[in-house]
Amino acid sequence: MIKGKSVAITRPAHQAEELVEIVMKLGGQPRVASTVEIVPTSDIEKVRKQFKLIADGKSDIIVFMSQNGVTSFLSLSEKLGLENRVLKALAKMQVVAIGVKTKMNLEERGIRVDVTPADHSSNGLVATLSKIPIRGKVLVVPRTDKPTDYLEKGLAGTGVKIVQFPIYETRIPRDKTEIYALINDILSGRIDIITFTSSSTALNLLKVAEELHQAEAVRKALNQKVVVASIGPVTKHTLEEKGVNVLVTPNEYTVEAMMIELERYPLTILKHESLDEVDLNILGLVQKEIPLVKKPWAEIGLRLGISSEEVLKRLKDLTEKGVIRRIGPVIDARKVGLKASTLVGMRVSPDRIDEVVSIINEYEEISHNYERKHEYNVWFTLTAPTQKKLNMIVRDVTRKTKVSEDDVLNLKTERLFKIRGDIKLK
Amino acid sequence: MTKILDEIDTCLLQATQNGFPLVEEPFREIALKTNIDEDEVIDRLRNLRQMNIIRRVGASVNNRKIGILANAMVCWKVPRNRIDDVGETFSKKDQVTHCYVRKTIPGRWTHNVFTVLHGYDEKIVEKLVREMSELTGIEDYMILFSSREFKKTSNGRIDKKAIKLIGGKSID
Repeated sequence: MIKGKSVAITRPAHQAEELVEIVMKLGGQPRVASTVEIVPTSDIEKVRKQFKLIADGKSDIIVFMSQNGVTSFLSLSEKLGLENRVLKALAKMQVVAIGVKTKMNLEERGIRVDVTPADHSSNGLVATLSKIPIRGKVLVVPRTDKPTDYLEKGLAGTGVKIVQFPIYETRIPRDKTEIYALINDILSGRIDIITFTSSSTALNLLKVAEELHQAEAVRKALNQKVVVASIGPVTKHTLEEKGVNVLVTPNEYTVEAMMIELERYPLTILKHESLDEVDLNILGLVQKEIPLVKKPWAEIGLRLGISSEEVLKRLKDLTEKGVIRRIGPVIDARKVGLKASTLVGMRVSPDRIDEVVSIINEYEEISHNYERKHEYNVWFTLTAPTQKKLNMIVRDVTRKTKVSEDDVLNLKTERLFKIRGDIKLK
Repeated sequence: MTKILDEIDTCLLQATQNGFPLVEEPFREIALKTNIDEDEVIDRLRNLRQMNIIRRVGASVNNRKIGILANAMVCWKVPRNRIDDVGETFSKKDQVTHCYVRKTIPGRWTHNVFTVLHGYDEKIVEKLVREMSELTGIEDYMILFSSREFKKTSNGRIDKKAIKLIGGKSID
């Protein structure tokens, strides 16, 4: 869920607008800090040859890979004094736009678009190009300064000649103030979600962090305090190579799909509360065993060298923040007569999960209930005084939730090896 | 049937089910609420703890709030004759909070040992699971990470009917 969360947007300023709008619509707070700046290639002589090839009518197909590509392509052809000839040539060529946005951008400039792949990914583009007659043709691809070889690979053996050339450069913005502020906010836990829409948006952030000698701290903070979203698998891979875990990647590689996926992620977006050394020490003690004496907090304070008031104040604060759920006796279910227990796995269609869960959670006999990433996606635990009663409840839940018996696993506890509520803190 | 909990124990457990009050002298407040003498409150809780009816007197921490985001249930297929040693090895791991043997359902679910693990992220947990697999030689396992928590409470509630069964008496 995005509501109330601060969402960092790292994509170039002029492309951030759409994301900002979506975040605001969903009740989040957009936080734009572009880590990438896109500028047309500075050395125009380098690309004169390729533009001449187009202007002279010696190329047949052109692929525009992004809106930036369109802008830079047109500004460069103007700088080279070839604008009119290039536009005339384009009218005779087959024009391919990678996505709808790029297509719209071209059409706004009066350039007709012939083909747009249904799937806006590299594979989608290769599939689309394979379908048009390309043998013996010249295919030009104006793109970034970081070319990839997937087109050459994907179209090998089709007899097409591919000419890729850089028309824009991506770089870290000259003015890094915004990025510094973002890094600061990431480190202090003020960012809940961060979105990366290309590999360079991620790499540049980490590069600037490195310049500040904060790369490791930022990586750690991203993994512990922030929900990291990537637009697609390439960006995800880049992040993971750098040791940053990506929690959200949509199936369709668009900004909208990424935001829909983020909106569906309620659990992981819980903010990691920043705890100091004293908090951690208190938590370490109170989750193990609280002394059963008249003034237990004073005793804990004594062990940590702080006052009873300080312990109490912090415990109240941690409880308010939801870090501590409760402090008190944890009862052994088996010793108070709840001798039967089980784990139930259910196969529930995703659109019914909320409804099914609300029915399950009504039962006081059911103590834990999770959604898990598996074919069986809802898992809950249940205790009861007898096996008979246990089976009765499972049957009752199955009936009420209208889940078929074939989609319910009742995995009864046979033996308990370990159960422990406390957890090792860093 | 021997009486494990008497009326006063039951009353105390019910009164503290939602946790101790966060005040300087919590047992005095419980004493006032239940009309049981403060010293007796403490004595009885100590006694229940000693008998392990109370497993632990402590705080339940919300892992997700402190950045421990990965929660995995790992299901292992362990041969009958290996359950003792494998269960013991798994239980020794700090990050393993639960380890159970469960009945299987032939043809539908054949993994019999269940462990619950927590970690700062999924990668760390995956690495730990690989270690556990190498350590025991159990190679048939599935990791089910949780994506949402719908409910988490204590399973040791004071069930009124259960109390009657074990010979105690419940209060309302």
